[in-house]
Amino acid sequence: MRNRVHRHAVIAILFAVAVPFGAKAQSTPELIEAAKREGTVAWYTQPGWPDFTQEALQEWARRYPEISIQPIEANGPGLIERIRTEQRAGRVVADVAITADSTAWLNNDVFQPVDLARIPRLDALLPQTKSFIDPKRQFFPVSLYVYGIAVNTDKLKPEDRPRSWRDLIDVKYKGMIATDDFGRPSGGNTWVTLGLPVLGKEFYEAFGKQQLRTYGRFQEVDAALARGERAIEVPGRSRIKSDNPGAPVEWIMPSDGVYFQILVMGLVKDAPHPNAAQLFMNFLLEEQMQTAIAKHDDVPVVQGVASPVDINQVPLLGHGSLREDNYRSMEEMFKFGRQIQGR
Amino acid sequence: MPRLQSSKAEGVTGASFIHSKVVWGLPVLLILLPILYPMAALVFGSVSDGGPGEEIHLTLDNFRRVLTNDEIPLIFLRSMVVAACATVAAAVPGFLLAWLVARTNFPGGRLVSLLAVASFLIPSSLSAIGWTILGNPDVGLLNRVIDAPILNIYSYFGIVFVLSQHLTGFFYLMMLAPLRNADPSYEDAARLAGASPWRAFVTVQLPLVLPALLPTLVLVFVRAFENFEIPFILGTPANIFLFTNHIFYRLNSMSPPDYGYAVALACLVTTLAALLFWFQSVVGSRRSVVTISGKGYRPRKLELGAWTIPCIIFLVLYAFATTILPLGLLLASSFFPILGLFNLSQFGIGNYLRVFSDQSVQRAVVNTLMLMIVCSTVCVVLGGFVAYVISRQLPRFRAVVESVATLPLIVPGLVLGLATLWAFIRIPGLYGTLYILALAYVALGLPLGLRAISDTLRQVGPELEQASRVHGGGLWVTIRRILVPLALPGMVSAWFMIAVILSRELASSVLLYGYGSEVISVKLLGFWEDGRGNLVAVMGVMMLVVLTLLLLLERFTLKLLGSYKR
Repeated sequence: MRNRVHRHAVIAILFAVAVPFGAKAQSTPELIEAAKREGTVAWYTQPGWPDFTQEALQEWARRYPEISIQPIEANGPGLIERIRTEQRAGRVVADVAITADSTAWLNNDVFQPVDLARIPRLDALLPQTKSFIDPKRQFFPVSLYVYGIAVNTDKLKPEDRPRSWRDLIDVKYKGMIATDDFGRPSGGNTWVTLGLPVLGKEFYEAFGKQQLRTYGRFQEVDAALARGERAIEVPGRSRIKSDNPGAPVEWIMPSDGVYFQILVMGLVKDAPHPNAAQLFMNFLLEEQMQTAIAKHDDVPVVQGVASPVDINQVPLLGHGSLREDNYRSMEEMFKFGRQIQGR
Repeated sequence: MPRLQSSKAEGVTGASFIHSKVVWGLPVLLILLPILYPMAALVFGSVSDGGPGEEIHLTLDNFRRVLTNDEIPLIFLRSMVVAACATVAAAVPGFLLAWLVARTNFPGGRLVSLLAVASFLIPSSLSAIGWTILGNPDVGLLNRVIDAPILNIYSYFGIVFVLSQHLTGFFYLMMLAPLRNADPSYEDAARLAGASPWRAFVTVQLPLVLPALLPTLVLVFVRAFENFEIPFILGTPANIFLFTNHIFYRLNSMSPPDYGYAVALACLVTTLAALLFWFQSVVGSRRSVVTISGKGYRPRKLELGAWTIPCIIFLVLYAFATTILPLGLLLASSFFPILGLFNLSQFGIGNYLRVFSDQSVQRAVVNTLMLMIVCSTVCVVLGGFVAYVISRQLPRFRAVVESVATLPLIVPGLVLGLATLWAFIRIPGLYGTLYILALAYVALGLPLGLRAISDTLRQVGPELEQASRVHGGGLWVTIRRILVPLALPGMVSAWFMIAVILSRELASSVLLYGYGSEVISVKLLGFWEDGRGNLVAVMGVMMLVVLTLLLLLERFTLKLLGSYKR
């Protein structure tokens, strides 16, 4: 069963108004002292965020030089499984984890509830993103990223570029489209799942006949698009240009709708440094870090930071996170995804 | 295989006979523990309904799901055909190059060694990435230069082509020592009897090296079968799915991963491969291939004469197509921000600065070097001991021990890592450390050390040891002053080969590493998953430097031993 997000709520979320925000929402001195005594924090994060990660590490080192930070990258299912393995081995290293694959989180008992008072910046969340806080208080939104269509600007002139999802089944785009793997948890599979009720099965079947080239993860598709192997990436993230500086790529907001993915963070159960972890979680919601997120073309989740993406003018297909399905019941969508891609 | 007659000659009693088996057999069993225990864990996992470290119930449901999956026969058939084609495509140039260097006066010996090993050292993922730049049907450099889509690297042909390149160097290394050590007098005798050079080669020399050739072919076939990176990078865009991709999806695409299915499938495939190894070891054991005997001999090189130039041309073309071109592009890519996009205005060393300033990369380099040195040494010493025992003391058990010891080579790397994890996860403080990586690396390297030294010992006739005994030399003296010096070149080559393989081991490492125990291959994969092909190129260059240093060190060491011949 999918959660549904009302359109007017999303508009308010995604076109963040610069509402003056009074309280500074700093971590308490007690938390800071406790974090310093712990001396380190292990941050498990998703790959594909290198520039923001570097910026966060530098700012953290400047602000809390007594607390070292250890970033470890893994994709969604791999990240969850790594934490579970640590817990079974009795050697938990992870303190805080961030991923867009929150569906996996709902099905794995790897996180612990957090006292909201220990992350005061949660008060700065946009009202609508507060609804993304897990009822068990185990994970919290960090940013959103928006999916549309990405193109290689050297291979397609502006007048030739697709402007909507439905344009993609035009025969002139046959042999030009690259996708990630629809047969596994991915942005592409989310597009299929959310788009099916709107675009229809016939659309996806026609899309499957466009001689698609399938890669693994979205980063590989981004790289292939940047090299010019294919002219169009479906789906493409809004931050493709900032992730590939110097590459001839551009993001297009499809006129028939977009969807987004929520990046969430959580405190790992049995984390060896829980205070440093909560301090870090608060740090990621601070205005400076949220501004850095916006600089990389993701959508911030706090008040007072302008969003780089204005999707006010298009419908919303939905969001791919916080679903209660687990992967075994999603197998049907993975199978349909593989059929679309000819497997 | 000739056996030492000493025990019978001395009239050993039954009790002493059993005692000697225990004395020799127990250490061998202990040495094989890093292999046996994870394999047992693998079998256990295949009948479990949970994952490593979890509370589980026994079930046959995993096997049922594998055997009733209608995709499996086609996946299996595709994998077998691809592996067979890659084996043949690797064996032909690999054997030819080894023969040219070992048995002829071919002038490019050093270059051949360097290039053959380079193609083997480079992680198969880098080879595949290099060829995507060249052979992409849309924007590949090769296709653009010729202005026609002559090569589509995203195809079965592409997978076989890159796989075979990757394995040729391995084949070359495995065959070089046996070809080098073979006594030429047998061939001379054939020539004196009127045989042509070709007939002498086919009827005399080839059978002499067959006991080394057969297991090498099988090893290469299995390595082709279980390779993951090349089918993943070149096959996925073309919807080509082989056995390893299939397992990868089951482990990586679901939460929790479908461990039971993956290990059940791996068990079935491992069983088939084990039967293959057993068969070839039975065939090989029926031949006596003593070629290093008590008689003195000087390995004589065949004069190529008019064939020198064609051989040189072949070498140059082969080197260019398989090594210089993809490596050159890899090197070039390391100076640009986007892999495959050579915009001169963006040329710079930014990628190098980024990689070398990364503390996790610095840790990875140190960890990799430490694991390489320690684990290679352990593998050669322990593998040499086991090889001696099964060739001299317990020859009846040779086939069994070699089959057991070879298991890690025929289990897909992904599953070997999983087996190690399953076996050792409950031991406190092991997971995520260098120690668990070392266990997996020793399990992987021990069969190679055993195989390489075993082949060398097989060519040493018993009369040398008997001569030592006759002159009063005990067991330790005989080993130290007769066997070890004769086997030393093989041991040194085995050490470097194992070091090379371990330096780029990925499939197990990615499952077992933790913060602080990263290795180069894991960092490389991380950059690739990040879409940072430019940084992958830098890591590739770094590995090339390591390779060059290893080769120089090997040559220097062999020269010191006085056994390196140009």
